[in-house]
Amino acid sequence: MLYMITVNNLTKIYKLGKVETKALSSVTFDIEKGNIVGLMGKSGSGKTTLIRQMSLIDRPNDGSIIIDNIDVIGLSEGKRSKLRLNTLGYVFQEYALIPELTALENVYLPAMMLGANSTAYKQKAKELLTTVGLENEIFHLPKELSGGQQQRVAIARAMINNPKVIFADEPTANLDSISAKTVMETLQNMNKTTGVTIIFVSHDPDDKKYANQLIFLKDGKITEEYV
Amino acid sequence: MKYLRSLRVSIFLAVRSLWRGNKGITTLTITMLALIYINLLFLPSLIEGLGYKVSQQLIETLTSNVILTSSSSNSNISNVDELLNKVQSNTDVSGATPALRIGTQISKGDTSNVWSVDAIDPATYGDVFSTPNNMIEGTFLDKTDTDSIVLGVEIAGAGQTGLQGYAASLKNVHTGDIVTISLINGKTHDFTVKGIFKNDFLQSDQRAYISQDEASVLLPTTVNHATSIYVKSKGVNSDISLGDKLISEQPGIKYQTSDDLAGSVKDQLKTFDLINRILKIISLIVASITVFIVTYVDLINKRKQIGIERAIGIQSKAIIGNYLLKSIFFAALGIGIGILVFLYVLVPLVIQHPFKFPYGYVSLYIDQAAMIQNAIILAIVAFISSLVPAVQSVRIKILDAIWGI
Repeated sequence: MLYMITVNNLTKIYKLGKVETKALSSVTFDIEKGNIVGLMGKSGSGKTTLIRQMSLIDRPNDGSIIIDNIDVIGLSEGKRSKLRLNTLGYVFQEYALIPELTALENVYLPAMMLGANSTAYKQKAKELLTTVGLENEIFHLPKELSGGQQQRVAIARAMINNPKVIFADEPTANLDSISAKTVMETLQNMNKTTGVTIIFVSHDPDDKKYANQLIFLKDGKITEEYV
Repeated sequence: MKYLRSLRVSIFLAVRSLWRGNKGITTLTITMLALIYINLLFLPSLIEGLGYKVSQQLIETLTSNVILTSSSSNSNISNVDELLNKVQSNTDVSGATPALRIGTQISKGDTSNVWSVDAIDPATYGDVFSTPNNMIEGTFLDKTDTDSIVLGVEIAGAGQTGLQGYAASLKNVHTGDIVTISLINGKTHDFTVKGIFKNDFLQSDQRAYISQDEASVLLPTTVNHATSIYVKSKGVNSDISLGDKLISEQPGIKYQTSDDLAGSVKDQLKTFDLINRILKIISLIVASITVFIVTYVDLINKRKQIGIERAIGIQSKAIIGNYLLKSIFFAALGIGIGILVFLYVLVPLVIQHPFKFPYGYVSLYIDQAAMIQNAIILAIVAFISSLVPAVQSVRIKILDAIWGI
């Protein structure tokens, strides 16, 4: 079996003064290449904490994470940054675009950092924006786009460097139901057309239908079913 | 290559941020830097101007550039005409004039005080000193004048109660009044005040002059003698080299420069220089704190954006570079505007409405080297003031930056 991500005995403890809160407790699972994985659970279950550890935005207290055969726990911040740029894509819960860049510029910024050919990455950014249905908004600034459109720009940005995994942390949390559906379908299409592994966080049981692998969390531990 | 990529992204982000970012903050930052630069230039230029004015007054109304005197104390220069001809024939000399101390006390009625009274050659005095052009009453001496004297305003008083030395002056002497001089031979002589001059320089306004021809009648033994010969330089060489040249092959003559005779004025110039340095340091500290605060507030406001940039893989170097490039842009534009405002608004304004000091009217003295030095210092301050918070902002955890936990 080819695993894109292997998580083993992952533990994360937050300290607030003298109080320690165990957000993740010995979490272990595997994710196959090309899967769409839903991290499901109620508020406070630890799903956001888990995706932050896997996407290299935070460091766990214990356990291991292997992404595409690389043990990422011991990597320096510089190497983690490179891995985020080359291998991972990220869609935030909020509309996390750079306000001074157009939709097109927001999308090709990570490719520029990678040192790609400018004509090629601009062309690819346009194609990605067309794929997410924003071919007429490429020169719009984020403030000129709706929440759903901004999330689709973020998805296009996450795809620009041909990532192996996209992490989406509650990408539809701030959207109306129609926009939410469009965003989830866009992620699904990306998975189908490129084979990119997608891991999304949701507290909405209805989002189960977009995933072909589900991981349920409760109180920082994996459970069998959404509770 | 890695650095070039980061630089490319830095330039891209900086240009977009300047072009599409908050214009109000950009304008405010540039204006603030321009004002800081003007502040760095203004007071030092004024103090430089004051120092320049004091030096100018000293040379033009009191000491000239080089003063020739007898090398033996208590004796005058003899054969003045011969020495004067030699001095005037020197190509570095613009003018030379002799002066003979003939008295030390001036009185009018019951009021008297000790002041210097010199016999001068009215024909050449104006070649060296500007005093003949600074008459506020009457006219300066002519070669043919007899029993005439010109007084400095600090001696005459002239009813000007605001004078620095009014209390010690003759209070209310005007042109046409008679004053009595105690001569060096112990006799006294009455003179009619022909004119009163005001150089706006205390030391030179406490002088009185009669003509050389008049002195030769009153003190026949002093004919062709002088206490000093004042020499005005063309400014080609230093005063010291001119002095050296003038006394070579002149036994019994020594020279001093205006700098040697500056006395208390020299101390004042040193004090001005010290004040100038202190003000410059304070201005730079204020400048660096202000630039730091503006950059820091800007970075705090963009903390989340920096977190997102880092999360999507933008290198820290590129993020820091973005803020450094912006700070260089702000500094360059602020300094540029500051220079334009200073040179084309402030300086002409101060020339039209100069500041009144006890030494006269003072304008801003522009020192190009100081302008360049201040510009470089401000650019470095701006650079460091944005580097520190920028580095701090990429060191915090991405989580803390984005979600503020």
